[in-house]
Amino acid sequence: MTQSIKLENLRDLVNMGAVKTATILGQKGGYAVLAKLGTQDRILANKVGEVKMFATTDTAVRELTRLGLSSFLLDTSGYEAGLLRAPRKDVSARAKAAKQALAYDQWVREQVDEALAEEKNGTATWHSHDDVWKDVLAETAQLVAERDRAPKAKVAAATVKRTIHKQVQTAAHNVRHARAAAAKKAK
Amino acid sequence: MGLAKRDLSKAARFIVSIGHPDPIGYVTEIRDAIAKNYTIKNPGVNGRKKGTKEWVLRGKPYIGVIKWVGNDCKVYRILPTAIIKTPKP
Repeated sequence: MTQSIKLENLRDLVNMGAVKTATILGQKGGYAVLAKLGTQDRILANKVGEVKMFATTDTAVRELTRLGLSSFLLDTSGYEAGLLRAPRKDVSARAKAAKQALAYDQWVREQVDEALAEEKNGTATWHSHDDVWKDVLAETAQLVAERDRAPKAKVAAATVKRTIHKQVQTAAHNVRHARAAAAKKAK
Repeated sequence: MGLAKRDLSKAARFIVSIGHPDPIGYVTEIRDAIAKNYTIKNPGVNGRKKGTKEWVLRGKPYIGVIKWVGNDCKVYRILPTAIIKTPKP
């Protein structure tokens, strides 16, 4: 079994010149790193001694470059696509929230820009607080009146629908009943 | 206040459309929240755009984008906050 080596130890060995090359080994869902130490191979391990896995070759290359290794092999023969870790739901939710916040911020800026541009062009109209609210409240009252009228029509339509449905059900019941009676008579 | 007036009309339409039991009362509360900010000369917080200030309308999911010019307050927009809360009666 290949012995493991921790990152700090590998760094020391690279600095001393004992390790010149390494192999990035494809595994299930990611890549491991096999360092060549003389005639022996040592697999890179994490702090708790487990094989350190990299999700992509990019991250493995970055780590090896940081260690001071500039020459390495890539062996993808054992690679199997997959995920090293379960996807973090909280991260995606956070990203989604941040995206929404950004979109909202942009939208507000656009709205304010529109108003500022109107003011700059001289096309903006200014009204007193009382005038504005007089109109807005009148408009609201009108909307409420329209809304309150609408349900009556809706209720009437629903009643017609219910009546038709009841009639259809009664007819179906009568047919079923007649068929059952005919079958009984035939026996 | 042309665009702000349009925003308020839009808000009123939204409040009516969601079936609020007392839209006029709710719209009046928005009016009072704006009037209160004006009365207490609320300077507002720095707005997203330079030179503007923003009012948070207490208890209502709307913000006002304003600018104080001496003792007068120019209301540029009344916009919904990021999270549209269903107004409670």
